[in-house]
Amino acid sequence: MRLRQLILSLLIVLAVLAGLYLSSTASASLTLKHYLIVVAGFAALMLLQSRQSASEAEEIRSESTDQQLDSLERDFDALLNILNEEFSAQIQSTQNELDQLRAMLNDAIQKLIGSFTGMESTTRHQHDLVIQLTSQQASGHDPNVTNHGGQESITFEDFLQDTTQTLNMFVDNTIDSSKLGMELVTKMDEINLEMDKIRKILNEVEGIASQTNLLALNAAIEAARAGEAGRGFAVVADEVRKLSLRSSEFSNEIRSHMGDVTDSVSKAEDVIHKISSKDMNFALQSKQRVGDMVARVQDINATMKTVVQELAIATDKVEHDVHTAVTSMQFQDLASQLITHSMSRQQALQQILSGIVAIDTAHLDQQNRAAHWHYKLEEARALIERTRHNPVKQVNVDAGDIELF
Amino acid sequence: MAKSILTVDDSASIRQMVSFTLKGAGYDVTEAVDGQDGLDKAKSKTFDLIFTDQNMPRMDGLSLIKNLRALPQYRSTPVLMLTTEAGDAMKAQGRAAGATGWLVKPFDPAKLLEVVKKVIG
Amino acid sequence: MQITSRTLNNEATLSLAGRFDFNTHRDFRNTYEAVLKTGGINKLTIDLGGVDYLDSSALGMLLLLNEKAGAANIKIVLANGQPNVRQILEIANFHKLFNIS
Repeated sequence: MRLRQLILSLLIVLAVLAGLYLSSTASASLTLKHYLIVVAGFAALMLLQSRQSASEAEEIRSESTDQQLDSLERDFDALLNILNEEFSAQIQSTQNELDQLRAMLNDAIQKLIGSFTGMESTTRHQHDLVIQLTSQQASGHDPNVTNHGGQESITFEDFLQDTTQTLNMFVDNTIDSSKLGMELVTKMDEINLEMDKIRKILNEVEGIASQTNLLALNAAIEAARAGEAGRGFAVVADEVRKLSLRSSEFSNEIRSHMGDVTDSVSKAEDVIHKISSKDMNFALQSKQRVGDMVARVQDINATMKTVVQELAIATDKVEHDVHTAVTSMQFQDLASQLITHSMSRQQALQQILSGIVAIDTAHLDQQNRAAHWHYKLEEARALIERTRHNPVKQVNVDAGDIELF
Repeated sequence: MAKSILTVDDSASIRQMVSFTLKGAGYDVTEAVDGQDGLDKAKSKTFDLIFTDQNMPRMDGLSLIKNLRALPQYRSTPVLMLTTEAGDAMKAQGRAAGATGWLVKPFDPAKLLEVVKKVIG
Repeated sequence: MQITSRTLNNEATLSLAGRFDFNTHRDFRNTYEAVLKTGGINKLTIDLGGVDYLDSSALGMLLLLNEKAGAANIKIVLANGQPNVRQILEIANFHKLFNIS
């Protein structure tokens, strides 16, 4: 083509030169001018023709480019579709996994909260029980503690004091009994002394009686010797003898009774012996036992004091641990929100991708195609903006700030 | 009579932790699962204090606060935001909507009780 | 039980040895009554150093002695008790009634 144009250009140049030459000569005739015009016209025609054929060639060229572009677009569309399918599958899998994670956290936290509140309640109950136990011990010391329904709540101390008092009373009783007993035996000794005095007197009485008996015998003999004159006397002597015999009998009776009394007194003394002779070791042992108990109670009280102190420390620690647990367990809410946010970002990605894939510009021309793409890009950008805000900035479960307006 | 508190949050675990903390200190606690539920409950019973989250379905925290402030019985009731959001812009929005204070999650129960005591005793 | 008595100026001492129990009541009483009868005594010491056993009857006897001595304004001292004897005197609250040394 270019050769043609070159030849034509040359011809035009020749024609112009020839024309110039001829016009320069005076003998310019009509035929030359006409010849020049014809040549110029021919040259122009030749140029036009070559132009036409050049644009024709171009048309043929752009037709095949269009075809190439179309095929390229179709390939691109196909690629996008494949990409979309792949990404969608990946995003869907990730969404499923995130959803699974969110559900697992939800389930786990409920179980955790359940066992935590259960444990806390039990701990508080145990604490109350210990307080009850230790305050029961302490209430004995507090004069302001009111007793319910008239029933005295006895503490160990009260009981030990009672026991000591009872023991003292028992010891006093024993000694008082013994003292009385000793007084009684003194009296009995006095009785025995009196009895001895009486026996002495009885001896004398018996002596008198036997002497009287002898005298009466003598008198009777003398009376018999005196015969009739002594008969009256003999009767009297006889009576006197009878009296002295009776006197001896009485004396024996008295002795016998006194023997009974002495026996009774002796028996009584034996009884008093038993009553008054109490071994005091029981009291010593009791006192020892009470003393041991008191010491043990003091130990218990000391232990209780320690327990109460330790309980206070433990209670503080538990309270602190409970606070930490409550703060930390809120991790599930934060994690859940982060997961939800992540899922919404992925959804946005999915939407953008689907949007792009759905673009159908085959029916649009160049200008509208560009506008359409622009519009789609703006849509995507807006979507990204909406999902940009992450509601959870925390990186740990330290307690957050508090501000009062 | 025990003071009554409403806690509004779409997270069950948060509601449970708030209830646990406040009930343990002797307050009466009611739970709501989102802004709308919170508003309904607030209308049916007058609370002394309201805690609310920000990001919730149906009605978010800021909207709830605005709706509450429009009700005569809640014009000056303490309403505290309890949310993960910590940005100054959000806080300013909260203040403008009528929030009494802003608590960032996670909350420390000791500090929560301190704030409650401070605003309602 | 063996009982020996000693008097120096206006103080008398009764020394006891052995088992101080019911069986000794006559001897004990006779001895201290004799001492009290002599008069001019203002202090009577019961030396328990040799006493290895003491029961409630002994305590009863000592109380009776205390009454009689008190009536005669004589001070009674219970002295030299062995540990077990001292314990018994203490549990009987005798430190409130007698001087115990």
